[in-house]
Amino acid sequence: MLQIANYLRFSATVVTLMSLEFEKKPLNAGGNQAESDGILYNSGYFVRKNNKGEIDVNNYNPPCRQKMPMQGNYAMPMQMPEKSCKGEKVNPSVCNKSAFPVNTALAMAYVPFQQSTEVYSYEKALTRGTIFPCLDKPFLMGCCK
Amino acid sequence: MINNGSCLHRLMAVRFAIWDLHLYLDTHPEDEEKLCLMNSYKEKYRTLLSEFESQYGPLNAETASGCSWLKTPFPWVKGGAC
Repeated sequence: MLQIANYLRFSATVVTLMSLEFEKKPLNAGGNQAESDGILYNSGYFVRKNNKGEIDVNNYNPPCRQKMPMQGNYAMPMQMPEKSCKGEKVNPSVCNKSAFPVNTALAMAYVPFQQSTEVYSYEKALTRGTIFPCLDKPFLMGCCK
Repeated sequence: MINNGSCLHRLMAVRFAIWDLHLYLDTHPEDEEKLCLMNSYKEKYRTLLSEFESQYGPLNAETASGCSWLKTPFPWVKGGAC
């Protein structure tokens, strides 16, 4: 029992240290957001701090996205960003955000960011379960034709 | 069973397309092309809904007053939208 308890304590310590390690590694250097405003994490998400300096989980912006104007509790239709994350002018219909973050941490799993693609017709979308051909996975092929 | 060409089926398909594009736009708010597509589908849904309701009565309680939506056949009964 003592061994198990020690092992659990060791595991908890490792997890805590790992968490602290990520907490300590903001990527603000060279970014377009001021460090005093928040933290840019490895995942590419920018987490803002509130007035007290605490992280405000309800107020975060991915680097490629502008803050959406709010009306009451609802976000209004967005304005097209004129510049990309790197400050370059972009085609308004295309965001330069790549499928993966520029800096990927080891031992972390990532889901590729969906790129803008063509869409099915609405009739085909209903039969396929998605309007995006890139998300139309053949897992149930033969069952749902 | 709903026929693929039926008005109700098209309503369902357009509604689904709106929802799927809506989910996409949660993470891709800068994609103007998809935003325009979703808005065009919303307009199409309104048109299809008014066509449907003029022929078969209110689709649900939201667009009906009182119990008027109960006075027309449900889609799955004879004379309904199927």
